[in-house]
Amino acid sequence: MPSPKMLFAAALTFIATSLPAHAYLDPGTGSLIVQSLVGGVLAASTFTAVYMGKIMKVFRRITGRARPGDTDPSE
Amino acid sequence: MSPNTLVAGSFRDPAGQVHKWRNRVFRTVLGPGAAAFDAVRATGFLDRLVAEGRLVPFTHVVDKDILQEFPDATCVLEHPRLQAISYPYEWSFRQLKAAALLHLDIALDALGADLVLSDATAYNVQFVGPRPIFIDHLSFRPYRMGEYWAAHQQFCEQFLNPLLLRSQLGIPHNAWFRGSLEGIPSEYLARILPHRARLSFRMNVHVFLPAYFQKGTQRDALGPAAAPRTKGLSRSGFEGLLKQLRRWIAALKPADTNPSLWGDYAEANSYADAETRAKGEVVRSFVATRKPALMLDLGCNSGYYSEIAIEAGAGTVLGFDFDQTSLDKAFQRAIDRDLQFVPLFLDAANPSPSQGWAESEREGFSKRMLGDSVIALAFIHHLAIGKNIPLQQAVSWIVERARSGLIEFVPKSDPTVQAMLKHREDIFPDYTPEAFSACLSRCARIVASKTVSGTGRTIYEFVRED
Repeated sequence: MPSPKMLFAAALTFIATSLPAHAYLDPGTGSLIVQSLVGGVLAASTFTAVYMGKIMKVFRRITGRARPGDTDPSE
Repeated sequence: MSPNTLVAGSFRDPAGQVHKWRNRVFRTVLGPGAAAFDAVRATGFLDRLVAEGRLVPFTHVVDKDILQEFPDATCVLEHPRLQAISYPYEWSFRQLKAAALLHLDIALDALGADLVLSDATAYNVQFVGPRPIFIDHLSFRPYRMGEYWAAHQQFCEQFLNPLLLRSQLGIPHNAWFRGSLEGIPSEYLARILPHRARLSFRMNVHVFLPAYFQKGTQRDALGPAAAPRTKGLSRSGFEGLLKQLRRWIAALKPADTNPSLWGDYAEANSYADAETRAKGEVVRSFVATRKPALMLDLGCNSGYYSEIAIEAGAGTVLGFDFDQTSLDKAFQRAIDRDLQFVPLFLDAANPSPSQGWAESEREGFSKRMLGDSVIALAFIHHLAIGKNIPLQQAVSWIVERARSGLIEFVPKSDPTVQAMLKHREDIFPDYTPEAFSACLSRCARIVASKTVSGTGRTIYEFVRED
């Protein structure tokens, strides 16, 4: 099993290759490592919120409890 | 002709700087920031923010005389002058929260327009009445696919952590923020947060884990500037970070919700309603005559007299108080009644100093907070008796704030002063109405005086003759 130090070094290398080229603000290594670790989770939560909203709309239409915004013809 | 002066605090950004010249405010766009600014400008996003009142308005300067003053600039913008500049360590919890939400809302909308904010400093927000407004037009640049939110740490240290300090621990952020101008480091906040906070996912994402990984990693993590770029944080991950913080901050409340000593002062003070009305009438009549564009209200409490002053014709009132609950109430009053009233934190015995780089990056209270008029009602005894400040010095300090004003003298016979002296020796033999009026006469002309209470409280109107 890789040690925490090895994981950390791998994360640093990964992050070093994905930074904006001329940032004048020091972004803080700790923050960037965490973003690389939890970015997927946060992205998933955003998608879940969007799709749950859509699923709920469909569900409300089926059950006849549609709200004014639910009958958007573009959907 | 006076040379243009670089606004202190505007020296760090290579993309441009703010200057004051001929009593006007100009922003230069310099070489390193020109391409990004042009790209942002072309999206129309800045114009939209201005139209919504979320960004200070700007016009492109075409006058050659003005452009000559800024030979290094690729373009020059002019902004309207703000009535007052305040700093996050002078804001109440609610103001800092409003500023944080403004920042996040702008960041989210910017992302929708394929833009990002390159920094997240709280000093980029000012208050116009109760409304926070963004002031840095060069903070925006085009979004690059896969980039991290480089300003996340700065956002946490300047907005989130100070808010958590009060909402989790009941400690106001002002003193710590003032001593640590870049905000409250996550590393230190992590050490004092309660153990239960470690069970929270968002506490871990925004405080504990960044602090943990930051430790001992002072070596260069940025790598060579020309490093090949690979996929980093997805756009939806970026958006998720912003949205999570927004939801979290919107729900934060101060932990110390008990009414504080002064919080209910306006409602339950020691003087009767008739006296409150009498004081209100003195303020109304004074303001109606003087019509100050900018008035200071020292010891504003929940802003009762500030509101009367605005009704009577004061343009903007800056209120000052040392009590957090009063400031929150005053801010709520400004929101509810839509008043051009900005309540700010002030310990008058220890006002904000000039500090930061070269001791001029953030201007001190005495240079920055000068009004056309000042009122100091039920205030001077807190300095003269509460803080042992010689009466003459306290009076002179108030008079220096504006050319005209009202100062209420609260005599020793008043129950409030009696309470202050209850558990201490009375070492103030010279605290008398006669001594007060002599002190005031030494630095200003007394125009009128009116006794407003049965206990002898008297309001003196002064005009400075210089």
